[in-house]
Amino acid sequence: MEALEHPASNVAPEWRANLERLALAPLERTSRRYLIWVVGLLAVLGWGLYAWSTQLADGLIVTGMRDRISWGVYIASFVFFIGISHAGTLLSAILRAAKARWQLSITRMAELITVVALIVGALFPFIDMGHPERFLNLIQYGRWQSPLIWDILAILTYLTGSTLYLLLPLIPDFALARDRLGPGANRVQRFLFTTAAVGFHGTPSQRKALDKAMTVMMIIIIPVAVSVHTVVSWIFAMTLRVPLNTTVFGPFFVAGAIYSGIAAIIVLMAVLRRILHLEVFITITQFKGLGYLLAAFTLIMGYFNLQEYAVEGYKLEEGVPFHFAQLMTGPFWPLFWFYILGSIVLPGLIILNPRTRTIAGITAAAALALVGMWIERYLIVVTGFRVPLMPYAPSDYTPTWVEWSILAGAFALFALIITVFTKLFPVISIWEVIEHRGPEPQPAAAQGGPSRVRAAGAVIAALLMVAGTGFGLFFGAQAGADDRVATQIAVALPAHAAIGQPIQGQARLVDAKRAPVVGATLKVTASLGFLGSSGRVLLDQLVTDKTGLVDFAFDLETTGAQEIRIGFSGDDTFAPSSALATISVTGDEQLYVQRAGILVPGLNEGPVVGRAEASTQTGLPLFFAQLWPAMSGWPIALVLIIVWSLYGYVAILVARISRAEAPVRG
Amino acid sequence: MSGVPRRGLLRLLGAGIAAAGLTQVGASSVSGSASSAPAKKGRLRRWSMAIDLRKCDGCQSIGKPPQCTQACIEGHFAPEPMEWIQVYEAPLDREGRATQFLPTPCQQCQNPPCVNVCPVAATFSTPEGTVLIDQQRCIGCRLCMEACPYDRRFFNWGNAPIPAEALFMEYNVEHQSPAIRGTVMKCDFCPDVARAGRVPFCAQGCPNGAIYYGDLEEDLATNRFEVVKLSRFLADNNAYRLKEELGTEPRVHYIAGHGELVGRSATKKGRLPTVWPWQRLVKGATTWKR
Repeated sequence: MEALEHPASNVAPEWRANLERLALAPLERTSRRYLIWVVGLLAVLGWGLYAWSTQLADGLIVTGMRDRISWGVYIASFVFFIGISHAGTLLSAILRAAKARWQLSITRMAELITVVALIVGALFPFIDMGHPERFLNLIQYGRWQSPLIWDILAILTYLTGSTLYLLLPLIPDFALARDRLGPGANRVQRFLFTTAAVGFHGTPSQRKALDKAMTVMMIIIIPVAVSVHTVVSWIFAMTLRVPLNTTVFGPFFVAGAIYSGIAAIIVLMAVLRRILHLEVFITITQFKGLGYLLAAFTLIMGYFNLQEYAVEGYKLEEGVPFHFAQLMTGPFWPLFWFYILGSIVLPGLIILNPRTRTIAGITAAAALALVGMWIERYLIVVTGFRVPLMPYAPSDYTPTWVEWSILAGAFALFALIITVFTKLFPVISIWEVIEHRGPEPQPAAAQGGPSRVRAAGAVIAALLMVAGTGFGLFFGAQAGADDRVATQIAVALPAHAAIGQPIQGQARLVDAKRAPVVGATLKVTASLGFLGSSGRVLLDQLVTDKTGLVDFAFDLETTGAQEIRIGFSGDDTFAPSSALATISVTGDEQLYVQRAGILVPGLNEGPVVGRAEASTQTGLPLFFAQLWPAMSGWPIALVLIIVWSLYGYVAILVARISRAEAPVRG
Repeated sequence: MSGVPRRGLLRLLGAGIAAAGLTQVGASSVSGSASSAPAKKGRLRRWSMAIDLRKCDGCQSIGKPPQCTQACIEGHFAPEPMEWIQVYEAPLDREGRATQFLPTPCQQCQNPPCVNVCPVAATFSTPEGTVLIDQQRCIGCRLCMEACPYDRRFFNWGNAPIPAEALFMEYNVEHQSPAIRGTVMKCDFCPDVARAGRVPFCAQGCPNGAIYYGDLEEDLATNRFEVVKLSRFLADNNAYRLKEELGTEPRVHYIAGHGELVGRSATKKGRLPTVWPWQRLVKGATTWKR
């Protein structure tokens, strides 16, 4: 950011006065329509809360979710709202980094969407939980290996960063509001503005600190935003389910998030522009700029859909034919084709056609994209879970009134927070607009838009690219009673063996004249007991060679003196016979070692571990011990430490602003 | 207490012993056969299962619902509609003219995807290699249900119908009763029953002896009628595991077939639906479809 001089020289005084008056007007006056709107939103929110209370009382049975489709509207909406939150990052960080300026008048709205969407979105996994009151378990027993923990950490980090990034550019405007508010302003507002302005008076040292803080946040918020939606996609992509275990999900979700984020800003911008009479400051320039970005993302979304459906559809792995059929021709065809045609193709066409590239046209395209992106999230969750994992008929899912009501309540909460915000803070970053934009003639501004879009597009594309494992002898004899030729078996077997050790022995089957019996089947068995049952356990089975010999091999895992029987069951010529040998098996070492699986320290490692034994620590030491990351947690912890220390640095800069001396006033 | 069936009473007694160690994750050692005393040192059991599908006719021959499932339900007080061991009827050919019955308990993976994703370690692998769930810790996020590739996890969506006597039981991770609403349940592989020297309920219930319960450490398995050397039994019969390609390393093995050893024709389809035989239910219970 260059030239943070105040006041800017290229701004006509009356234009500036008009901006300040209009931007600050909602803070001073409250209309009846505003109150009706707030009451309406509160009513919908109340209904949503009632629906949630029903769910808390009766359990998740009130929803349409069941074992096979165990996630539904809640998780789809969670993904949707987190996606919307990318609006702010895109505008205020990516475009700012690309030194675009046309978006400055809407950056605050974008940042506002980010913070509010994150707050509302983060509520959904909580609503979706079977035991929301156990949420503290996430802190006490949290595991670094769980995608849900990644989500919580990423969202918390993103929310903190976005809040900082929303509040930083507000400081000079709070100062302005503090200085300009008329006598109509109430005490609450006055206190708020004075506190929030942190003693900002526009001194050079303060401006320098603010500039630095905003640059740090501008850079750090971009990778944080990309990480958030990548991690959100991983709650699906980290599974072994056919339509979900695709490697494309990370970037696909990030692209979808930015796409829906742009659409959300356009819609909010169109609404606030009309209600707050901001037509002068939010013009076709902003609509076209965001419209071109939206059009560019229709192509990126189209590309990701091609990647998804062409690659999976070419191979038709098990489960994929079912998935494609349910989407394209089955029960989900209206939703799927609306998503592809109505919310990707159509918005692109609307914006590319110069005749429909109007404020109304671009807003309609954005509204289509927004609805389509919620449908896409719904399809990912519901159709992804619907593909049968075992031989059973596919389940169906129909959201109940509780789910729809809670969703409506969430949208009402979203709108309500934004509504209240417009009453407390200026929705346009007044100082930034004054310093960087001025009252440009509109055609010139329209030209500036697309080139900035290209620059921003390049930054996004680059980011998307970045985002992207024995001996003693024993003789036994048995004579046959029938007319068949009697046989006998001679056995050679070691007397001792360790458990698991390969035991080799020899046996020879001969007839009464001591001539070898050729081609007879000999069975080596042991008498063993297991879980209440006992019997002869087959250890080896061989056919005698021309000398009547067999070389057998087996191992024993049961300790003690084991009686080994070598038996011949007899045939038409030869009578049955058997021989017995005893082998003493000793040992106490573990033979079968588990080679896979997850061992949770303090829970299931070691021979006998119970929960009571696991934690000798209690209270606060236990809490910190649990926080200490396991080996697998270190990469995550490292990233978090870097990001949060930068946040800390920004906080220090803000503190510096507040401690700077105020200029002497006459 | 007069209404408590015999099996329930045995369970209650067992629960009383286990209660001394809180919700202790037990482990039994290999010292001779069928030892019930858990030792601190020595060889640990590595529970495993082999299901011989050649002996499974879906209980068509006795005209009853699959008895493994029924025994499991009665032994565990499994809430309706949970079938911790479920007998699927899987088509053997493209047209579905021939079918096989596939009893499916929790596969007890050694690389369990469900354990990987649990945010609070409510589901975990025991030293004996079984995967258990601590319903007192479970937050009900159902991430494990999404992760399980065998559809073997069940959620308590509401207050499921369970017999009133289940409420007298002291909770233990090894029998999961009484059921807690808003938490996930599944087959626990009956390590407590095995420690007491018996095969699990499903293996007890199977009239044909199709279910072999075994120990990879002692390398033995039994279906109540015979004892086999597990490794040799699996190799001799070309045993396979479900979805081997996923790398989940299940502890449950299958021997292909369609009930031919017990006289079932592959084209004789259908099995009777599972029943939950509770005479008295807890108040306010509701059931649902899976």
